[in-house]
Amino acid sequence: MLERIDCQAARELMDRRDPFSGEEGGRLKAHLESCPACAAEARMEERLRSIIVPAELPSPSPGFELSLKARLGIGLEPRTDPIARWGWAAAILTLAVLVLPYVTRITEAALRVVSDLITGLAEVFGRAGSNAEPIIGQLSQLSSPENVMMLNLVLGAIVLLGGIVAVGIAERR
Amino acid sequence: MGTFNETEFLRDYRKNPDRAFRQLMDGFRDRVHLFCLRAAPNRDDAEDLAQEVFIRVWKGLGRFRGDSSLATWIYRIAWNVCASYLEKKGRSPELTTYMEEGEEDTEPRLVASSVDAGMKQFEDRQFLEYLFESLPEAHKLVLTLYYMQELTYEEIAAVTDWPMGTVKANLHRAKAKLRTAAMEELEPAD
Repeated sequence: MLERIDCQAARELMDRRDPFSGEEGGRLKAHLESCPACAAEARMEERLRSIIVPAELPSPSPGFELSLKARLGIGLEPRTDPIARWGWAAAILTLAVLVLPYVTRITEAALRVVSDLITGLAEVFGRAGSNAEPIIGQLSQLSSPENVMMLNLVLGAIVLLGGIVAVGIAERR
Repeated sequence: MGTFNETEFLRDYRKNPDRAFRQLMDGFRDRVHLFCLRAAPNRDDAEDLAQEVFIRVWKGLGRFRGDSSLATWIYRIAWNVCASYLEKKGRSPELTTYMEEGEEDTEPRLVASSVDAGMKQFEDRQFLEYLFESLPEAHKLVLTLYYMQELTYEEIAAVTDWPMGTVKANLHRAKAKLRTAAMEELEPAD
């Protein structure tokens, strides 16, 4: 059996957003069944709510969103989605892998030319009895396999970094 | 607004603005528009206000820290935009100087006797709309926040910058006045 409430308590309950919920809502319902004055107020409360919150909210005009998007600059520049971004990364990596052997050969060839040049110079300076012979001797080792490998690693890292930076720039745009 | 996911929206705002914009429109477009209609019954003005609200929301999202819910934050912006509009029209929405405890009740000015006799020919619904529209803008806005946006008293206090007691008093008395005026006209006691 629900505890009875008076008109004052009923009106306070009617002020709640959801007046008929819970146990108190049950008490309110019971009160309204026996009190025509409060029942009339409850009906009015319901009608007022429907005025304040129409069942169907009025939408702005059809051009509202388009105009707003234009003012915000949304959708004017295509942005890369995650799939496109990974596509870019994969393309750059593939390119790097394909290009790297050629870069390696070019590097090796370049180092050999420099090394031969230095060796040639060493012979000339050696004949002249120059003191620069030890330094030239070191420089002539430039095309050693260790140096070539190191240089290739550095070049590979530069290509990869360049690729990452390029993806970053593409995404920002 | 039931499907609006705040976390998802904030993530998309950075990574997929198109989708975030769609979410914002689905969640808040009509509500913010109706809120603005409470301050500016003229449809064009209300749309301009709603655009202004969303521009401020979008541009300010980077600074949103989550101190309140996103809805409260958006309505706070809407409130400020509408308040500026009303001030320009010479109708400030500030209510803090009345409705304080023990103060003489002079607002809202709407009482049954002020209702023009000609209004009786209106259909009930039109009459109720008329009553609601006759309320001071601040009351309309606060009632809208309470019923439509389903904000709590605390959230409405955060939106309006009013003390909680003022929010409660405003809501209660605006409703009571509205109800009394409507009862006297539409359901007179025998």
